[in-house]
Amino acid sequence: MTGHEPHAPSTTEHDAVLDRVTDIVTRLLRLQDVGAPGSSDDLWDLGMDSLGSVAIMAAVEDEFELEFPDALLVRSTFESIDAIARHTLVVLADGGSDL
Amino acid sequence: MSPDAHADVVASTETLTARARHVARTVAPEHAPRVDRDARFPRESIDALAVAGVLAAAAPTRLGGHGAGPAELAQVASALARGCGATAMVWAMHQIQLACVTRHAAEGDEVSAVLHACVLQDGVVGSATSEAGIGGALRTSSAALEPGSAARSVRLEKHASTISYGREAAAVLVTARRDVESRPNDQVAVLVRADQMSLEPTSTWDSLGMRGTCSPGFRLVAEVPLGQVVAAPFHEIASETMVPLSHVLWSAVWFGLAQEAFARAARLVKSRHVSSGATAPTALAEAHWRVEVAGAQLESVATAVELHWRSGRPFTTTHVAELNALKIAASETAVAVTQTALRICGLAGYAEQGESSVARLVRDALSAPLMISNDRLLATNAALAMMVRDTGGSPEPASTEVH
Repeated sequence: MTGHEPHAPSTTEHDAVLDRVTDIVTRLLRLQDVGAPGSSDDLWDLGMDSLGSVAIMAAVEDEFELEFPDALLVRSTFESIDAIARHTLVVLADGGSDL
Repeated sequence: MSPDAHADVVASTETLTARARHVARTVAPEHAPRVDRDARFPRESIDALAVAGVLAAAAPTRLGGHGAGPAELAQVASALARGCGATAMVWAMHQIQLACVTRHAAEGDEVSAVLHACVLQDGVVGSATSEAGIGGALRTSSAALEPGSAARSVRLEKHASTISYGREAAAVLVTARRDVESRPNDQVAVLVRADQMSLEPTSTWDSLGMRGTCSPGFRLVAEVPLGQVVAAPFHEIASETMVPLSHVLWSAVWFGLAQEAFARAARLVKSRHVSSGATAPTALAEAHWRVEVAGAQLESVATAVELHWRSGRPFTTTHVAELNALKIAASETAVAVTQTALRICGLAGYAEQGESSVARLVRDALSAPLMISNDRLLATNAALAMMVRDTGGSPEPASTEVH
């Protein structure tokens, strides 16, 4: 990254974001019956396709009232719950303005 | 054309596009009517492109090519389409396979060696990505790699609903699941030499247009050394190279068809005007603006893909939407412009022969909305459009990494 580093999120803040992202992913990938994915599970391996990833992008933006910068709207940002949560925290911290 | 004459072409022109234009004005139109009528491979034009040094344009110089980027490749594809749509499409699909292998195989590995051998023998590389029961869904496979009979070899059986110029290809890039336990989207690409596979036709190729691409369905059975599996996962090959370059080069071919149809209509209108003072129909202006818009969009997106490749950054949702939009627009433009040209040219355009004939151009262009169905792409782009960001044409950010 260029510019300043965003402040490190607290464990509580990180866990709260992780929980909310987990709920979104579980609902949109219809995984309620088999249980929520692990935070590092590859969502593409769990059957997410490109339209599914777009649905998750839109839902996360809506949930956290943020807008990911274009550079973050790539496959790797949405490959796992953990990746989504990390990128969400970065954008929440600084709006992703230096991305 | 004699080999000596071809050598002169190579020596006397500078750019790949100029060489392609020469083939498009000489060998390609000479054979295109029979290629089209008999639905046979455009062998003469492909051989002429080889002699002119244009056949392996997308391969890097170390593998016998020119290392041409998307923008230059697009110019060549459009130039070729002016002379023979099937030649242009075969050439374009070959470039796509060359780029997929050379951009994603490890330098010096077995896949690269197989590709180099194909280039040296002036062969074309086809693709087998579609599959019976799945259709054209690129990112889904049913076929799977299995252990072969020899050590460190893999066996593959695929019921491909179409293999581009399958019988004529020196090698075919085949998609399949990584192994029999893998999910449908856990795919790899395997470069199979013609002598390593058996092809049993499962359909015939007797199409409305693009008849010379000779792409029927086949049951493909192959066994190859493990080293011929491309190192990168197919999702990476597809998203970074196959899909972007397919959209650009297919669009370039369709743009060339539209350009040629417009040019034929304009010539006829001019001759009517000169001989009888007939007013130019406004339809000619309609065709003109559509060609102008399509050309600008093609150049813009081709250049963007080229810059992306140089930067090494992944394509974003916005870029994917732009690529899909190019494919949709170029295919619809080709249909609209060729049919407008047909209305302008009248029966002279409807005839299969003659300098005002646009019949083959119309039929070739009608394949465009079907190659990856525009309906499917519109549905995808409707979703992507929600997430399109106004990048304002600004340069790429310095980094997107978050740790």
